[in-house]
Amino acid sequence: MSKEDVFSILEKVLKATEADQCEAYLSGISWGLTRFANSYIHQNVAEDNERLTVRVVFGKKIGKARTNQLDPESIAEVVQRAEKIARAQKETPDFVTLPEPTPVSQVKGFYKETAEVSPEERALTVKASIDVADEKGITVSGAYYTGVEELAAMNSLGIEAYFKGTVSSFKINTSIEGGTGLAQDFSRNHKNLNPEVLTEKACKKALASRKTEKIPPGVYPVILEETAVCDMLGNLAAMTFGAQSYQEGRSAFSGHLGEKMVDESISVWDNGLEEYGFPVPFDTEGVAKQKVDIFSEGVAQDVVYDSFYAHKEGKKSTGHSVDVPIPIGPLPTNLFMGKGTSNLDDLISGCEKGILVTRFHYTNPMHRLKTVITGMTRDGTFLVENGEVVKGLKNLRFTQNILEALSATEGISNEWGTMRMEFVKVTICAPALHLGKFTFTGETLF
Amino acid sequence: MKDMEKSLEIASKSGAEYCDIRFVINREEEIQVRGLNPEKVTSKMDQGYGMRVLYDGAWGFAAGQTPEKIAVKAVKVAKASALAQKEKIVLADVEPYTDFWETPMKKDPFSVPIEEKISLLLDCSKALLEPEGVRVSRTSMKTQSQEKWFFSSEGARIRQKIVYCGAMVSAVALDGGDMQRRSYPTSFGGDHSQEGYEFIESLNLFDHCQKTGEEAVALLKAPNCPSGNMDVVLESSQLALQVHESCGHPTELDRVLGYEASYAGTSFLTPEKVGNFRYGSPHVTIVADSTCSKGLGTFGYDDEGVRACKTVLVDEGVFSGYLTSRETAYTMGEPSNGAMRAMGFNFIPLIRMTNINLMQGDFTFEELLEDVKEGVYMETNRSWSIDDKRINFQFGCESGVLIERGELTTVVKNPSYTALTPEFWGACDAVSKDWRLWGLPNCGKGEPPQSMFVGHGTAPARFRDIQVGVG
Repeated sequence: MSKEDVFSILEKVLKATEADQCEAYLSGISWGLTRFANSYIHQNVAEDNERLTVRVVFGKKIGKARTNQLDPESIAEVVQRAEKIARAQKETPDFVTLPEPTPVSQVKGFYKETAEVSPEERALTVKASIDVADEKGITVSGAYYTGVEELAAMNSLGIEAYFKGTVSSFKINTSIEGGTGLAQDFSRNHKNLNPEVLTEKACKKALASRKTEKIPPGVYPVILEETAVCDMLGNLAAMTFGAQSYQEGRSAFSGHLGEKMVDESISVWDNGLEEYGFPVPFDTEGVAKQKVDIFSEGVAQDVVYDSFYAHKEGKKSTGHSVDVPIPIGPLPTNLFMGKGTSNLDDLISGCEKGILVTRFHYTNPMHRLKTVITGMTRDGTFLVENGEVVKGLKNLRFTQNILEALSATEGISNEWGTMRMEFVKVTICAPALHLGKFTFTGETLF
Repeated sequence: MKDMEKSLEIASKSGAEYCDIRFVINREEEIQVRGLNPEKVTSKMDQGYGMRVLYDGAWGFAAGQTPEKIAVKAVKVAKASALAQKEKIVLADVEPYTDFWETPMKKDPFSVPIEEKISLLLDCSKALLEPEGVRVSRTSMKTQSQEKWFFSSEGARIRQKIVYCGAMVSAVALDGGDMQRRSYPTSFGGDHSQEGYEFIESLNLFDHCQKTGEEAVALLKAPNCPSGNMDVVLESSQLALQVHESCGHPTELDRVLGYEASYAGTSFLTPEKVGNFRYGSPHVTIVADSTCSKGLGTFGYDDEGVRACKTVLVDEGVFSGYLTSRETAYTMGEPSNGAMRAMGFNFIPLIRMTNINLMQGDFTFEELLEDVKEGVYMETNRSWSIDDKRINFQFGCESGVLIERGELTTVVKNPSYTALTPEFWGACDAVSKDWRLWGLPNCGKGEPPQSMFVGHGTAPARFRDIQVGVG
């Protein structure tokens, strides 16, 4: 749709309601995802869908309704459904108001060539990767998606925000007897993905991890590649960086802002306007994204807010409202950890003895306030001795306090890797890290 | 539904050897209360068409609002898939049924006034906050219906209407540097059942709030769970997640065949193990049953039109079968046992757990404890993680109680246990007869990610010499 078409729909919503305040949010997607396994395309999907969410407010009574039908009758119906809920609602005592308008910056997020990628082009790209791996006797699996997303918000206080962006990702897992590997990238411009380089990288990793040996669980120095750091940072963000957990005392930041909590080499920020990652200029309330410093030189600075939690503290939203199935409150959505000056090879050569981890698998919190998570290593775990990778290791289980791990930072790489948590639409960009202590608590059979 | 017939015709005329189309209407009502704030009260309605096409042995899928358009698009996508195809996909045979199936229920949950539901959850939230030390209370209720029409080029014409509902209450206590949570009837969305509002009423949520809050506070002062190897008795909702992660997922045949390798991984239960691999002790029999009453994995037909049925996955400890689709079943030379479901019109069906049930044993709960010299009874999941072949796992629970010389003694906090799947189930030497069917509304799988509602019938069980107290 055009911006005018979208705004016309949102205006119809605002005109149709008798509520004191009203907000309309539209998110549309037109995309295709080509998935491959056992070196062929086994799933290949295309979707066109638009969702209109309406929030109405009578005093402090709030109702919300959603539809994916955009004809005039359906628009009127969804407004009535939201109003019916609001009228039946109890008051939400901590609610103050919907957000006021803020100037929304423009970010470059739309690439015509990415919007026009066809299923054939995706298939041929996947086939090229399969052919490269076939020559090495390697089996591949993965996913390649491209498409267009359209986001718009309008409210009765004057917010009007619109963004059209493209999305793309290429991920490849490689497998050969005894070894596996992974390489992935995400970008608004599919030209940045470079599937050939990712395929070579993942093949190299699988070949290197073919022969693995056991190492006893224990505390070791580690070098975490970018994907592993993104995973760890994503967990920390969900537990710690949002205003809901902070206000409720469930965040490690609660009562500790301004304190040094990790090594001074660590800086973390969220910036929806930064072109790297997946920039979006506003949130699901139409509030402009603010850059939020979360750690500056190891010191806890701030958390991210939506309007509800911001108003509870008399603050303004930082533009981090999200619409996710879990009641998690505001979240960072384009999160960055600051780079260092070394490359990954420098980190490895600076490690006397330690474990090199390509990525983590199935991480989950064990104790949220203490930032303890557990998970497995996957797709390449290696022993480093005297600055060199000497052999592959069987995968290990870790159970680790993240803040303690980051407090023992000994090196940071000069390149970002990117990971997108698709279910919550959070993008994380992080460098590789050399950490002095990391606790492995178990082992598996492969 | 003429437009669905038309789209089948378009795809077939375009050369598709097989196609099916689903029209799905999803309706969802969600209420979330936090403290004294009814923060989120939402009604969602989505509908649309999703079409699968098999062209030259390769799959294509398209979803949207216009059946004729998606038929053309699905064929185009399938033709693209054929560019990187190794062997042509063949589907196991299925009888093309014409039928209607719906959830039996007494009281339609959508007909209950939303005021009543909000009031109940607010009252519960207030009651949870009463014990001194409770900092956060959270209550929620979810009702979902999925009405769907399935037409296939083989002649299937099936309509189904599935309705389920569920709820939970949860209290978080905080003190200094510690945080502890208790939930009822279980955590992460609570318990759900495929029946009417009578299920919500049967949970008696309000009556459990005071105790739930008090237990959260008591955990703050409780000692940590000891570390070491000892016996473990698991409460049935924790065991439901244990079955889910270490039996349900690894018996999905698409995962076994590598279809999920790039996401959550594969499975150690490879085909040569069927019928001869000792998965657990003789006390362990696990079935997939999409026919059992009130289960979240219960239906008339799966999203490939295969009729609901019961399949034994583990027979007295021996691994004996998979959850299958028509495509994967063909590779085993078998008919599909009907496990394909899609989250909505805009997603392809994947092999999903139905109701994966650990069959009940003969023991009373007291008998489970009776000859435990040193052990821990653990309740209600708090954390879960398993490796990408479903072998090494680690679970954390909300609460534990020490078992000393056959008696429950001291409450302990942060209980956790870890093991390798076959060793763990091999250490099961007793399953109780207190069987209960749990409904999990949020099982994740696939790319793009889909969340599915599944069921698990379990009874408390005992496991010998397990590593506990990790991290």
